Amino acid sequence: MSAYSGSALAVQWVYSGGTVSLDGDFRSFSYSPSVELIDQTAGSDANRTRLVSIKDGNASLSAIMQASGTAITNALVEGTEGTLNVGPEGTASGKQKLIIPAIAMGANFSINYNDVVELSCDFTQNGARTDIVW
Amino acid sequence: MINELAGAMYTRLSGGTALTDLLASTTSIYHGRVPDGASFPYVVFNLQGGGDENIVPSRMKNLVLYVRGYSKTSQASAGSIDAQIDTLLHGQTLSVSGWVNFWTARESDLSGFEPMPNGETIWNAGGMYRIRLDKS
Repeated sequence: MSAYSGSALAVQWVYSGGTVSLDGDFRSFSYSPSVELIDQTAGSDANRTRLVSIKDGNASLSAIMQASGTAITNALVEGTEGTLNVGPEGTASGKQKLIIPAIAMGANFSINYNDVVELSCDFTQNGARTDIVW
Repeated sequence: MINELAGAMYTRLSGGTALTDLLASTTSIYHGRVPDGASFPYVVFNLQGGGDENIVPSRMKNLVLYVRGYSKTSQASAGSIDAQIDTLLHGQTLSVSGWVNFWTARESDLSGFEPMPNGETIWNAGGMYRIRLDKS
């Protein structure tokens, strides 16, 4: 096993308007799966126990905005439903691929006088994630 | 990329008549080394530091250029040249072939003088300019 950098990341957003690559000018990308737990502690239990319930997750992208670029912001309009195809190590055959149905929560802009304009977008998972390989 | 940036700097500076009116000629702008015997006053610029940002997959450069004017007349003369350089560069956009210049700003001011062996004094005034480029 060996470590790898995030520079090879591949992220595609497949939505009703087509497929856009979100990795061209990305700075960071994160995906956080989660699961709800049901507390089943009762009676004289001395330790809390839980039942595994509904799975969920969210993803977040941070990227540099390109001058006069609107394709990505149009694809990430809040409420847009689609699918994230994520390749943490790129799209080479046999590398990990996550398929995540999601809803875009909207393109956020961070504009600083003396720095590049940054775009960020959160995605809320909207169905079961599929773990396969490219 | 350095050649493209140097070309853009020369074009920008030589295109400023308010600057070139203060120089020995309209071509008294040099990248790095000044030829022996060049007439004063003149402008010199060089790449002082910087390089790739490596923060996104596409290529971005963050560079610092030292741009200054030299005069044998007075410190004020060098300062006047520097003021015109500032007007041409600070907050302006350079046309760098193959790149998009999205940030050009002066960051540091420098001035000084050099006593020459023949008794003459050469004054200089200029500044450090940060130039950020995105591969187009």
